[in-house]
Amino acid sequence: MDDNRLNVVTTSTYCRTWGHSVVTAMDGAQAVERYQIERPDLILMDVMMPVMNGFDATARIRTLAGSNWVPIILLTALGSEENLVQGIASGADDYLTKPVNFTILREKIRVMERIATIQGQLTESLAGLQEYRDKAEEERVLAAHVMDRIVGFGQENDELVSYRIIPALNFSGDLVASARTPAGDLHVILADATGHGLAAALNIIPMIEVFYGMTEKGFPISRITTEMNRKIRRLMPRERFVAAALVSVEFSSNTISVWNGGCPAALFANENGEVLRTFASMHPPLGIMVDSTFSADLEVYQWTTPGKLMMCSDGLLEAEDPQGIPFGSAGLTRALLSTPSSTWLDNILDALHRHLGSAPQIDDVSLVSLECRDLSSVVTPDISVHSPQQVIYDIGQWYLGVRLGHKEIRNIDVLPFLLDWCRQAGLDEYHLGNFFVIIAELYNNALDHGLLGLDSRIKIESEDGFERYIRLRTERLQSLESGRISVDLSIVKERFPALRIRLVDSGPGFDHAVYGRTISNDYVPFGRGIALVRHLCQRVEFRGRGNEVIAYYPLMETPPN
Amino acid sequence: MPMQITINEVGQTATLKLEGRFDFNASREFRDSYERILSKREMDSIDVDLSAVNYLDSSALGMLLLLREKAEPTGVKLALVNSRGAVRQILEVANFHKLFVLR
Repeated sequence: MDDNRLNVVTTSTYCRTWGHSVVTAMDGAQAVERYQIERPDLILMDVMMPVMNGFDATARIRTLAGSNWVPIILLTALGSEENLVQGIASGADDYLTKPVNFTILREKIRVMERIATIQGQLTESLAGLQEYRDKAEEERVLAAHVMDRIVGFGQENDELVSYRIIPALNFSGDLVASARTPAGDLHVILADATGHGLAAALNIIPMIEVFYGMTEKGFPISRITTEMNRKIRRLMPRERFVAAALVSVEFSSNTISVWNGGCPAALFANENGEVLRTFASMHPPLGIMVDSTFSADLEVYQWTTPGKLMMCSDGLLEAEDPQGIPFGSAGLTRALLSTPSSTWLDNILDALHRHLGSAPQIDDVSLVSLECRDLSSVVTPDISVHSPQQVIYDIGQWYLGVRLGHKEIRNIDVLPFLLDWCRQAGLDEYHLGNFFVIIAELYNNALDHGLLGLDSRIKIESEDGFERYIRLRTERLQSLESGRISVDLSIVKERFPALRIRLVDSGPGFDHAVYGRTISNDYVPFGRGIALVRHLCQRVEFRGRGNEVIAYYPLMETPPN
Repeated sequence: MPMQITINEVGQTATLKLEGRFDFNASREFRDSYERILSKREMDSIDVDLSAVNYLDSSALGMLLLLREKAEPTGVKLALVNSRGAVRQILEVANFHKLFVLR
């Protein structure tokens, strides 16, 4: 655009011979107007024009163009430095002095074309980046949602379990979950998957299904860890493993069983914060070992004074202060000693924040406390308040018999199978829980005393008697070379319908008279099981040389809460 | 600073000497290094020297597991050597002595 008609015609002609199409304007205002309609790829602008000068027109066009860059070359007769500066300040990209040297103009147009091409590519890759960022954000939101659901799922917050998860990034790759078995045992898992985000969430999903599913069916944690390991190994690439600690708390015997693979040691501390027992990592994390080398060995502890089991992920112990010193297990035990147990979780986190100071939290931190107190008198359902008139149960007429040889006794968990049968036959959750308590007790009696020849008195002979008992049991079970246990279940109708549970073992029998007939609240680590069975059942008979037992469990209406 | 890797071959043993922080950022270089050694098929053992590693995270453990998986079918013997301090502790908590020779 130029107010000199001859200049305009000459420049236009040259440009056309170079293969460009040309639009012209006679003053600044017209130039702005034409720019809006034509959107040219390049603008040659004279400075001295009527109505609106070249500087103002340039500035106006820049504003209108926004993020779409259009090269503007100023044509000026003045050639002074001041003009040049003003031109660049108004948004021009280059200038030429008049009279125009057309060779130079042609080169300048070529340069602008090159810049425009690069600019276009840049804009495109920026858009690509933005799109990528949006997708990543979308995935993050999805993963956060999934993890949220997983961690929240099933947590009707067991009153004995408290936990905190503090994610390092937007959300955590750590998991804490708890569930009860049909017999009322408490299972808790703390898991720390490699990495964060969607990758970590993908690892956690199969675990959580296994954890809740198998706990509900009554499987012990040794079987649950085996299955989790198998599943992660099958689904995930090798470098994606999961450090995990699984705990089972049996309130009928005040025992804790722990499987720890790759997590910091779990601690059992009494109310004064004194650590009475640690459960260090004894196994590689889940998802690494093949079935044949995977070990589901548990560490067992029987508490004699109430306390809490504390578990954490390595993010807590490895958290570094600004000098690079880790929080460490010492930081943890210090936090326990100084405060009442009800505030341990928050005190530990306070101590962590003081320790971190200005340093960033790099890894997810999760922390669980599990209350261990004597609940054996509380968990016992009381059937005495129900009269036989309330009978409404009808679960048909059936018989189920199972006979296990020594191989099956070693390798198969028969209890979840029996439980599942009863569930399908129509027993509700309340009766299933009672059934599980009864069958587990009778089965373990038949196995421990009948076939493995274990004497319950081992449990009280010494300080670590209970753990010795469990160790002996594991050893003898692994080397069991003969023996049978038969279980049969049937529905019988006497005065009212009952589930008849009969167990026979091939062992020498035992003197059932030593087992208590009432539930004692005194601290005796055995005999309570049979007393509980007697309490739940209408009738319990021992026969033969003590190797056959028949229990009648009355099928009555679920008591109101 | 990213982790430094120096490869030293003496006889039939290649030593991968690692220096610095062994974490996710080191994954490509670590993999390239051991693949170079394994593909030549001249070595019968690899020592991963951790003496100069001051930090190791779970993705580093994952990389070691990958190396183990790659080395196993070739018959190359693996060892993690000279770990100390916090690094040693992390290997112990993960029970890596059940998977690798630790020296």
